[in-house]
Amino acid sequence: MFRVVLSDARAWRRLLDAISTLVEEATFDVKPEGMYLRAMDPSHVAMVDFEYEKDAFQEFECTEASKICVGLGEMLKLLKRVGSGETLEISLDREANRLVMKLTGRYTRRFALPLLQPSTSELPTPRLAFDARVKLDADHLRDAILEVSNVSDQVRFIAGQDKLSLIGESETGKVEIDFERDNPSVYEFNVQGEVKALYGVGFLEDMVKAGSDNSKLVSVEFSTDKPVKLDYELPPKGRLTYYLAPRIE
Amino acid sequence: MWTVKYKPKRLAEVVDQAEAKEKLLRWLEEWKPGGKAALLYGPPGNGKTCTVEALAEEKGLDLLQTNASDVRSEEKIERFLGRSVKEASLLGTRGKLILIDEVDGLEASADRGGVRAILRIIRESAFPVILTANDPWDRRLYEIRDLCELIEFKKVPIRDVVKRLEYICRSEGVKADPKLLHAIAEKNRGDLRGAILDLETIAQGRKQLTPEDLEALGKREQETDIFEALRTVFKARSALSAKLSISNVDMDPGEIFWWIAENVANEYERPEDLARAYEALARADLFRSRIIHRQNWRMQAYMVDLMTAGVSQAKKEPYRKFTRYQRPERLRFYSKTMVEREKLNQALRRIASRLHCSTRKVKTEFLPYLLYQAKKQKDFAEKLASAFNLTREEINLISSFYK
Repeated sequence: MFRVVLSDARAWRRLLDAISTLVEEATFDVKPEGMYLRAMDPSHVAMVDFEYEKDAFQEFECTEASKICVGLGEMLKLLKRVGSGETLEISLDREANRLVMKLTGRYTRRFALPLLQPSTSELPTPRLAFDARVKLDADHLRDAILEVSNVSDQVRFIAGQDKLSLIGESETGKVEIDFERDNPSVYEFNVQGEVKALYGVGFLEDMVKAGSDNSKLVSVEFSTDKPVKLDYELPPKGRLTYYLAPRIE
Repeated sequence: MWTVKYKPKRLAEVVDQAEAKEKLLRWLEEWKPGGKAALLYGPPGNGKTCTVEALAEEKGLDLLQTNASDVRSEEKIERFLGRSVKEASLLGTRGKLILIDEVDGLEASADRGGVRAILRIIRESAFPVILTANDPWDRRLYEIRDLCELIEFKKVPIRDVVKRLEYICRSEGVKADPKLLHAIAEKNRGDLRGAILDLETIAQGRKQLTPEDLEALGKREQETDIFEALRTVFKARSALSAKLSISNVDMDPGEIFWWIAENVANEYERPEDLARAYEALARADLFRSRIIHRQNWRMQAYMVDLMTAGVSQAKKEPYRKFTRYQRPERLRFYSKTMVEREKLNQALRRIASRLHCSTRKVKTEFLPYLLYQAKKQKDFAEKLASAFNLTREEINLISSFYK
């Protein structure tokens, strides 16, 4: 038995958007404690980790753990015209092997879409230690990455004792953005030594856009020439985490 | 699936291909970012993809595998690989190896972008890129070919196919007649994967196999040879059967065209028949040239119809006689002069890059003049050689082509 109700269908669509930046098919782990998803893009460069606990839903019924795999493109297409204040109910029709979505608000809409074969491989949590951890405004991080994308397809993260800098440089110009330790929009600042790494803007752009759509705060964690972790809290009880591998120089 | 179960896990387990494996290893060792990709080519089922998989396994590389015939638009290739050719792997392996399978599966016109995306990946990748293809000389691949080191995978010899089949039978506890294994190997002509698939089909749920079991396979995609196809084209009364006759021939329509053109005069005797047949061939040739010049492969359907059905319908009555069909003179000439032509082209390319023009322009516009001068002035040839950095041998080769 599986049935959940989300009070804000739009927020759910934004979350699906965030996941669809990396994968076309999503395998959700539904458990009595909540809904989880971990997916890696086919080229093994980026990963998304999504947790939405029971309490984050308006109603949550799940009697046994199972896996639900759906095509995100199709699901998003159906949710395209979701209005504000509409509620979304998701349940399963095991017999027809379908996922059923019911939207209520302006009027009632019912959608069914086929369940796909879930992937069986379990992805491990990347075991990473981070030398830099900076918590800041999600919008600010998004804007910074977008500024860099104007001039370059890669961005250098440099964290020192008193600031985190994002630098993009190419023949077309240079963009340098500093988040000072004492800036009011920087909420946490924890850096050991000098930490530097280079990341591709393509993935980052999608991640920070989707992240800032869903959350106000982001914690950026990375180590020299190691993957970066972008952690977005989804109030009240959820989390969206991205990992991105560094560029080789 | 036995093809999966008995897939080689290490390079040494890959049947045959010693030379190719060695070349591949050397290429990988010497590879630096910006270096050439490796293009593994050869008939299907002889271990190209397996070798790459085993290589990645052995070297501890994360293998990014994509099949160009599944993902072939620019956007899809970009989405899958474009954003990740410079990044490390999250799985924390020592590095990555990028495999683009079946690049000849790119469709010409619709996939111009696909070729572009692959070129970009080869140029920009921070990791070695390997491509595979059945036919590396495909026209569509010429830009890609320039950025690749070509490594040939040969057909697997029959005795080695048999050996592998025997090994599988032993492991599976299946008793198979050696004659049957030999027949399977023969039928698959150097295609080890095909042979293993056939063996598995036959052995389904049985432990004892006899030569008669081969019939169980039926006529799966049995290849007809070109002579058979020619006979059908020339003798058939129905246009359809003439057209279908070439679909199972392992040869591209452009080549079959020459076979038909070469042999039509041996078969048809009535002048009116022959005239009509040549008319059809001329029209087919028109389409052939449009395909090549405009890269518009959609035209191929018309070319094929004209050269098969068109030629077939040219006769009033089928000729009741046996005709010996021969290999086209033109193809024989091409294969005979392949090495020489390649050398000539190299020389022409060198001149072309000095003169900032195409090799064709060098060939048709500049060379006749230069060679005329060389004939008139004594030391002109020497000057020419030093100006273009050519050897004496190359000069001779070039002038011999203009006699």
